[in-house]
Amino acid sequence: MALNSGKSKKSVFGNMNPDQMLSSASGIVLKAANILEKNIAEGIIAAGKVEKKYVDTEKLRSNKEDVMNRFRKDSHEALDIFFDALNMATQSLQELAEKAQTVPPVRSDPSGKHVPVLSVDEPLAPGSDASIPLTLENESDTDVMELEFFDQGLRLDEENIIHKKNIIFEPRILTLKPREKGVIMIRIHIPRSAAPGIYSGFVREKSLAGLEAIVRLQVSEQ
Amino acid sequence: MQPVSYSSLREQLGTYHSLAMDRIRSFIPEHGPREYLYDLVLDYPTRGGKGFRPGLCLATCNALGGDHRHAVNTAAALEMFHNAFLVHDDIEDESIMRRGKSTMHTSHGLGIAVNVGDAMNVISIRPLMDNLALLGPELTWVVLAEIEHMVRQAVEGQAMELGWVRDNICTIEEKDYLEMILKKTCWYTTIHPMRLGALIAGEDEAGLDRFNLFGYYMGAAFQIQDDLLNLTGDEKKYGKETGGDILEGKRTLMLIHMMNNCTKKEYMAMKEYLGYKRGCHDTASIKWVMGLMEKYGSIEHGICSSKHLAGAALSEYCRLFGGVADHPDKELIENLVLYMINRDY
Repeated sequence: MALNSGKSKKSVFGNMNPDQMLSSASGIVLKAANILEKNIAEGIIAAGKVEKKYVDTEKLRSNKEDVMNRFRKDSHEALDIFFDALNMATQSLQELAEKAQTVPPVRSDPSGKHVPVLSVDEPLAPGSDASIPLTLENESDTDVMELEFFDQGLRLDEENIIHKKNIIFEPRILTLKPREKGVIMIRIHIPRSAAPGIYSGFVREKSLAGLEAIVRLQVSEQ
Repeated sequence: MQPVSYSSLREQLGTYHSLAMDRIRSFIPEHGPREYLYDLVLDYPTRGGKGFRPGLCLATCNALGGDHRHAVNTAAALEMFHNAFLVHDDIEDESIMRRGKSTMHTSHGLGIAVNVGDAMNVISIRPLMDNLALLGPELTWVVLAEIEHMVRQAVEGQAMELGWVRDNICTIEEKDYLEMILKKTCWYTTIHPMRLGALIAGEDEAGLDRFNLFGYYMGAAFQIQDDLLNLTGDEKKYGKETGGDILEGKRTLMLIHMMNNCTKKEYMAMKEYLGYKRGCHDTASIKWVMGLMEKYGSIEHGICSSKHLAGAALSEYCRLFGGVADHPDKELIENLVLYMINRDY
């Protein structure tokens, strides 16, 4: 059926026919075209960034076997992956919530009399990793706080040190609104060569004097 | 009386819908919790949907010289994703009727309904995996990328609409609405079904963008007609409660038009009305809102906008398919544009 051939088309549109309608295009048609253009431009930029970051699509597409392997799963596996991911996320959230509740918020104490101790209950084997939540609260009613912590490593004695390169803070900078609480996770990697014993050291906020805590953990035998 | 007979179009859409449904049924496990899951997974898809999405996908594939059998897996996935959206959409909107029957969560409870929607999303993945043997890895990958974009856009659009309702945003303009329906409706109802059909017919990836504007105009006309039917349609034919969008506080084109044209006093009253939850409203309030829409010509504006967009879609259709050899499915696509704005359900 051609566009302008039948009376039926004209009657569907009342007194208008499609060509006339377009030539006297209402604002809505022009707006729609502009919005599509804007959305596509944004989408292309975003998609390009994602592709570059995660996937070498050209390489992937050229390697058929690799692509085949990505799809060699049946629906049960797909379901399992889905539910595993969900369980893991729920579990992690629960664990984080439990840990965060057991550690009271760390407060600034310029006198140094009440420095909190953050410890790991179980001994850690060399080569393992530990995460300690550092709960913080902005006690100001008006000011936003930006907190950034640093450390000097954990020491057993003068010779046995877990170097600071093995300790990271996530997020590196924590922003808290007035009266808001937040958590920085201290991630510690125990080097394979670490000698057994109890290690400790300070973590300190870069600009707030007295906002510090002692991290304490035990490294077990190999 | 409708000037164009749509019976053959409905018949052809029904045929394509059946092909997709047969494929979907083949993915439903024989064993497992049928009563609480797999029987319900087939509930919405077998309620007599119009089958626009699989129809557009398969018709585009055929019209461009492809073999629709190669696109059935993809069409099945489109139909299943669509029905999964509907199950969750009804929960999000607290709707009570869908295609003439109670919504999933009304009949079976919230927990079961959420899980059925999840299962439908997972089942949609299987036909896309089966594309591998039929289409080969490269095309399967591109199809998946298209689907990923489609689903992401749909949830983003849904988020916009839900956010406007939750925060009682009343400063929305026509352009905001157009952006929202591009995301919520058009990508997955019209644009991607055609892009996918064309892709499987052998169209180069780079050539797919030419379907965007056509699909957007057609999808926008479809959505506005859907919103009009919700206001003025025959509940028995349309299958949803008349005025449901008003009760849900949906920011339709007609509502936006009315609120941008009414008096300050009426605007404030409408804002207060929209701030209440759905359960607080009665049928008298629907009449009041409808009265305001009629007073300011908002219904007429919706009808006119829908027709203008359909006209623009037909113009795009001519540009796209003008050089394509005659084929019954080419005609079907053209008639679909008109059907979008003349349907009564």
